[in-house]
Amino acid sequence: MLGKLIKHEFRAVNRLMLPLHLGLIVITIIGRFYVQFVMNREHVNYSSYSLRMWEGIVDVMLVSAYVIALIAIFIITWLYLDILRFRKNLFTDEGYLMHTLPASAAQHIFTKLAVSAVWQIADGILIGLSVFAMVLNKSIIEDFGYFWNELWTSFPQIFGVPAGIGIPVFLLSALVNTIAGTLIIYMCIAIGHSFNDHKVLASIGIYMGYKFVSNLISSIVVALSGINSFGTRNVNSIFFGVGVYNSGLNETAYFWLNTGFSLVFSLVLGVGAFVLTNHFMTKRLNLE
Amino acid sequence: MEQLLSCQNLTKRYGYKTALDSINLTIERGRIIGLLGPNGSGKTTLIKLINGLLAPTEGLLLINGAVPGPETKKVVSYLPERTYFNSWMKVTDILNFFCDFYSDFDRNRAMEMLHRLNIDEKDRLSSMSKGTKEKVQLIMVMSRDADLYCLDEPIGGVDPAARDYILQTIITNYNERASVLISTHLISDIENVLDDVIFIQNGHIRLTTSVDEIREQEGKSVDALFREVFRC
Repeated sequence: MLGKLIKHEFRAVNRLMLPLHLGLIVITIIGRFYVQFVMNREHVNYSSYSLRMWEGIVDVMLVSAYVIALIAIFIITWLYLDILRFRKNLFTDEGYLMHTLPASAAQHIFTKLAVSAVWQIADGILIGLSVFAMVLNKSIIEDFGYFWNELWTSFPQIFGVPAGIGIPVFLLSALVNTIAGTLIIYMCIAIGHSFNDHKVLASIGIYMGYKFVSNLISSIVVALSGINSFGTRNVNSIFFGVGVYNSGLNETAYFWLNTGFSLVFSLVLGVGAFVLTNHFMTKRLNLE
Repeated sequence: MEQLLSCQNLTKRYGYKTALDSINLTIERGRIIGLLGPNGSGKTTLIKLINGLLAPTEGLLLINGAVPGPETKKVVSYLPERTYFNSWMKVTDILNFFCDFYSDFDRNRAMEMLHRLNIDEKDRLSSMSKGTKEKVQLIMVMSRDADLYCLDEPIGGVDPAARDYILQTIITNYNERASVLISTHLISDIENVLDDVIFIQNGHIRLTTSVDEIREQEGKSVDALFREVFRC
C-alpha cells in the first residue's frame, strides 16, 4: 500500500516539480553562457562610456533576476510540498478520496513526508549545483585543492572533530531538522483542520503559537547551557561560564554535546509531531 | 440474515451541536436502503462515520464486526456529495488509480459503463460538465465488488435519462451479499429500487421499515409517508 501511495504521490507532485526544476536547469545553462560572454567581453575596447554603463545595468539586472528565480524556486518547492499539497490532498475535497482508501493515516503522513523530503533534497542539490556552475571559473578549479586542504585542516580546529565526521553529522542533523520541520507543519495543518471554521487561520495560529513556545524553550536552553546547533562553544552559558576559555570542556566535547542535543531535540519534535498528526487525522478528522 | 453494519448508541457531536444522538441501527446484507431525512438531519454525518471520515463522540459503529479503518475501507465503496478527483486527471488516470488501490475494482465493468454513457477515457475531468463528473465518480464507485455501497446524493446532478441508467446499474451491479445505502431527497425517483427505508431527523432515527410494509400497512408511497412524517 505504501509503495502505491508513494508512486501516485510522485505522479501528482512531479507535475509541478519536474517543470519547475527543468526551468532551473535551463536558467543555469543560459546564465552560464551569459557569464562566459561577460568574461570574454572585457577584452573588447569600449568606444563609449555610456555603452559600458548600460552593460553594467543589464548585468546587475540579470544577476538579480537569477537570484530571485532561485529563491522563488526554493520557496515554491517548500510551500507546495510542505503546505499546499498536504492540505489540498488530505483536508479538502480530495481528502474524501484519500481517506477512504484502504490505507492508514500513518501511511498517508509517511508518503507525503518521503516525497517531500526527496524533492526538497533534490531542490537543495540542484540549487547548489546551479550556483556552483555559475561561479565556476579557471581559478576556482585551480584553487580547489587548496580549499579542500584548508577545510580538512581548519575544521578540526574549530569544531574539534575531523571534517570526515563533522560534515556527515551536520548533514544528518540538517536532514532530521528538515523532516521535523515538515512534520511540525503537517501537525499544525492537521490540528487546524479539525476546527469547524477558519481552518487555515487556525493552522497558522497554531504554527505561530508553536514557534513562540519553541523559540522560548530554545533560548532558555541556549542561555542556560551554551548549547547551539552549530556545534561550537562561542555562546555564553550560565552553567558552563562565559565563552570558550572559562569552560572546562574542549571543542570535541562541545561538538558532540551541541549536535547531539540538537539531533535529539529534532527527533523528539519530529516524533511528537508525527504522533499528533496521526491522532488528529484518525480521531479528529473533520473534512468540510 | 447476516449483519453487515451495526451502530450501538452512536453519537456524534460537533462542539455543542449534536448531529447524531445515540443511534442504534443494523443493516443486513442484500438490501437497498434509502437513508431519508430533511437537510441537516444527520444523513451525511452517518455516512461519514461509516467511512471513517469522522470518529464517533460516543458509541460504536461496526462493519463486518470491525471499527472503520483500512480493513473496512477495503469493503466499503463510498460516493460523497462532492467531486473528489483532481481536475487534471484523465478518466484513464482515475481507472488506474482505482485499479491500484482497490483489489475489488472491476476495470471492464467500469469501461463498459463509461462507454454506455458516451464518456471518452481520454477526456480530462476539467473538460467535463458537473453532471458528467458525477457520472464518472458513480461509475468508479459502482465498479467495485464491495460489501457496502454508501451513496450520498448520487443522482442530484445528473439528468433523468442518466438517472434511470444509474439506478439500473445500482440494482444490477450489487450482489446478494452486498447492501446499498442511498441518501437522497429525491425519494420518488428511487422509491422503486428501495427495499428498506431509514427516516432520520435531528440526529434521531424516526423509522426503519421495509418499503413493502409501508405500502401494505400505511397504504401509501414512501414519498407520501416522508411528506407526512416530516411535515413542516
